[in-house]
Amino acid sequence: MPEAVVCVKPIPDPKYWDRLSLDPKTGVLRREGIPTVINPLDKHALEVALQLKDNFGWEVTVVSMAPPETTQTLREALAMGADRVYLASDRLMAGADTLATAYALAGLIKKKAPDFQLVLCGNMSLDGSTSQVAPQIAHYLEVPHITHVSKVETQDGSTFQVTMDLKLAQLVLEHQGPTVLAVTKEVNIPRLVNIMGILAAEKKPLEVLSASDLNLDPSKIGQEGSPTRVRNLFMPEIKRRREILKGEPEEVAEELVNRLHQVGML
Amino acid sequence: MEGYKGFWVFTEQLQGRISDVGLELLAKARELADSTNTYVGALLLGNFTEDKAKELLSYGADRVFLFSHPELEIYHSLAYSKLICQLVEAEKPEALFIGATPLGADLAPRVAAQLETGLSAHCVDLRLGEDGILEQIVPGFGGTMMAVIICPEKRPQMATVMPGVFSKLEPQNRQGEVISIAVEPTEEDLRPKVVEFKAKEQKTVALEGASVVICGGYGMGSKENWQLLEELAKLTGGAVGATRPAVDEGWAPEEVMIGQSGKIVHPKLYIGAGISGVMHHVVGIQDSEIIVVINKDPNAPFFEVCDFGVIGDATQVLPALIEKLREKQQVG
Amino acid sequence: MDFKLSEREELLRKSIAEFAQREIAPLVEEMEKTGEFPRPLIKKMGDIGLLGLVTSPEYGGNGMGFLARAIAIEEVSKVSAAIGIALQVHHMACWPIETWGTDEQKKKYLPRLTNGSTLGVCSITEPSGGSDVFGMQTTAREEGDYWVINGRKCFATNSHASDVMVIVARTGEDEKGRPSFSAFIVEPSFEGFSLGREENKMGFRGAFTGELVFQDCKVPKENLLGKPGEGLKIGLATVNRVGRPGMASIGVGLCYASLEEASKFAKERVLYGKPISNLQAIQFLLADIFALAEASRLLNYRANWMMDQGLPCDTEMTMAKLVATESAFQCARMACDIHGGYSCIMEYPVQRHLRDAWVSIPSGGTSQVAKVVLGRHVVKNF
Repeated sequence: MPEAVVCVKPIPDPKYWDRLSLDPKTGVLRREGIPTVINPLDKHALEVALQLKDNFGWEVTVVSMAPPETTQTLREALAMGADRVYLASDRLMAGADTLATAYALAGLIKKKAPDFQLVLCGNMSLDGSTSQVAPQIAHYLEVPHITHVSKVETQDGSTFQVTMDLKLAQLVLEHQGPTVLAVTKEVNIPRLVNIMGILAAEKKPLEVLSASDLNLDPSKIGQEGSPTRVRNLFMPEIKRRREILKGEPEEVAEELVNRLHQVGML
Repeated sequence: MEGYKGFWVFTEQLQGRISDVGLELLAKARELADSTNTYVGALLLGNFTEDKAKELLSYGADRVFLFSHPELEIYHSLAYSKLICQLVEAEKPEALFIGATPLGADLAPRVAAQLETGLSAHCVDLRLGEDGILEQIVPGFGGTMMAVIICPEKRPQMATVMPGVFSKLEPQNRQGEVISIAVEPTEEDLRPKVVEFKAKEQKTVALEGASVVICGGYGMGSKENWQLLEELAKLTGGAVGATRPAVDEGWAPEEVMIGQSGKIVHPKLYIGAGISGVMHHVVGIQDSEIIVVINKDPNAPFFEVCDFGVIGDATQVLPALIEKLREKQQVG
Repeated sequence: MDFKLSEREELLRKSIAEFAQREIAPLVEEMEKTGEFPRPLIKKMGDIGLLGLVTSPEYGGNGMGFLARAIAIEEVSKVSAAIGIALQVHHMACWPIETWGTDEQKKKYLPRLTNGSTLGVCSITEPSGGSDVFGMQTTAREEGDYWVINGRKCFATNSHASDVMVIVARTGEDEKGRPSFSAFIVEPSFEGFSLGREENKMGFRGAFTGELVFQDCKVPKENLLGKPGEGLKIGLATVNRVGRPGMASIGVGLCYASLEEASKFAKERVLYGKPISNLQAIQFLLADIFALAEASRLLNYRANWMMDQGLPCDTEMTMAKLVATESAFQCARMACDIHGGYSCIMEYPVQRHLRDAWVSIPSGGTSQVAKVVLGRHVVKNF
């Protein structure tokens, strides 16, 4: 059966990002108490794969590179209907930028799902939002890639018509054979997890693999394998006048117009 | 770095029209090249004459590397990245900038992977650090956090940059050269096949260049109230934008969404009505000269970053403001 | 004693919360306006597995159990307590059929009850009394191949959206001369059955609450549930072990809904130059709401956990129902206090929580009945 691989990234829940802070001494991001969820766009990618499973009998394999405690988060993908999860997890993988991440994920896919027909990703993760990993995985897998995909259509589960959204145009591309697709949220509405899926998920395989399990070159993963690094983090500071105007709408409007006139606007 | 010279810019084009973002990046590359005594290179792929390519010289390029072929008129990721990588390996530029548009975001990572170099995404600023390394400023977590990214060892240092962050130069008569490179894309290079090309209509006044931006958020309450923003925009010669929640409600199209994952604007005057001011949106407007915020919630974070803040219901303040402006216009 | 929920239960909570937001929340405004139950929701609740929570997989359910059910009803009720009660009463039809039904009955009715084609009803209350069960007037007599039922049930939740109803009727006298009762599975298509009035309620709007009318209603012999004379046992066990925790779960959901609304409002409402959440008076109210919500939740989880373990738990279930529904009303009242005048405005959800909490109190046995049970327990055991 053809196999779809879906790349999933566990991220801090966007609902709680106002609780993020920077440690003033170490400059490191603090995210305690913020639950981890599947990157929302990855669920759209997974839904594409699950529809191929429903309509054409495809197998759906989820892969991820993340810390070992994210197995609980990844189990939701199994509950949605995926057949198995492979999690690449290793201290050596920490601090990876997109290139090192793509190398590790491609290595995982080559080892555990080498006969894939499609690799599906969300177009970007909401935390890093680089949109870089999908094309870089495609490079390491030596297959073409299409990003910003807002529509995926197929009649036979073998030839696909894929719509790529550029700024001022849409390209419809046709492809067969192994390809990496990165989808936007326009592509579908991801299904909800149902109770039967939650129970079934507990019996499905969820394997954690180390760098050596995957024969990864240690110089190409984690911080060592990352050509970019973070010099420092900061929370943006903006200095403004901050003059507050209060009162009845007519009064306030008058006041505002005067102030804007004074500073050379209008 | 030893042995690497030149700040390069990939200049995106669509249907033969060169996009502004490439010209904006040429301006920045020009500034960086001047301060380090090196040159600016522009990469142009498409179906162009050398004359057309010369235009890029007037926007700051010293050398234009032209890859012209009918098959390249439409973007093909494999063909484009192969050609760019071959040239980069031959010429060894210090840095390569690409606009953070969908096309740029599709192309840049593949090029970076092929060159095994570092790439930072949708930068909001670029500057040279004291050690001469390019510092790439990137927002994360929806803009609540900023990171300074560097690529210390690998070359070229690659970055994608948001449109509207830099301003293009006034076109000037400049000396430089256009270097045409022969291109014969193979069928393999042109996979996957493009079977249809649909241009999108550009409906609204370009937000990016507007000097006045009137932006509405969830606090506008309804599509009917949105008219107030349009009226104010007309009176002030401005363009109307929206925040993500307002777009989600269907009051405005996605194309006018202002924020980290939408448009970045830097008008002279920005007026935000019914917007709470989460970082995601603020990142999109923080370079405005004057920021006016209208919100009925005195605790709205937006008031922290405004020049003038009006505590009041936008649906009541805007009509009063429109009234006052009309009066002034009639008098003046 | 491990108070942590399992991975499975955490994922359940998350998934049902998402379901409630996506499929139930958009319907609430219309339900409040018209009082109509949104029928398309039945299939969706079937597909997501809510309808099969207390039914074994053998008969089409998922059998996730009572603690899971408590969590699920809590999350549904946070968004709509009306749908919460529709769901909880539905389980009051599923459970007795599986517990006392014959193989044929289980095979015939349970798949229909779990696959999203219909909701279930369990009805004991009559105009002549709910608390006074022995005063039940509806009778059933044997006549050939049928039981012929005469009488009237009222306040039956899901009445107008159900094809499978479990009811209790008086069938004779026991050896002491007291009335004895039997349970029956009734389909609305049976001759002599009709639906009576549909109540216009001040709370739980969107759940059907109606009358069941039996006029020489012919119920096939094979639809007797359990043995003759077991009716009260079946009915009361169902109320105690399914109905009361169901109501408790609704109460818990309402407590947390009030807590979230109150906290949100307090942080946004500015008086005397600051959000009122800075004021001790408001913080004390929020603290009281929080403590009542947590206590209700834990009492409910304990009772449901005991049920899953097969331990006798009637007392614990009764206590959970009493505390959670009374707390829901208190929490809503305090949340309304925090809202001040805005609690009177229909656009603010907190007034709905107050009305729903009020209606939850006499549902599944009044607080007074619960106190009779608990009082007797104390006298006997302490």
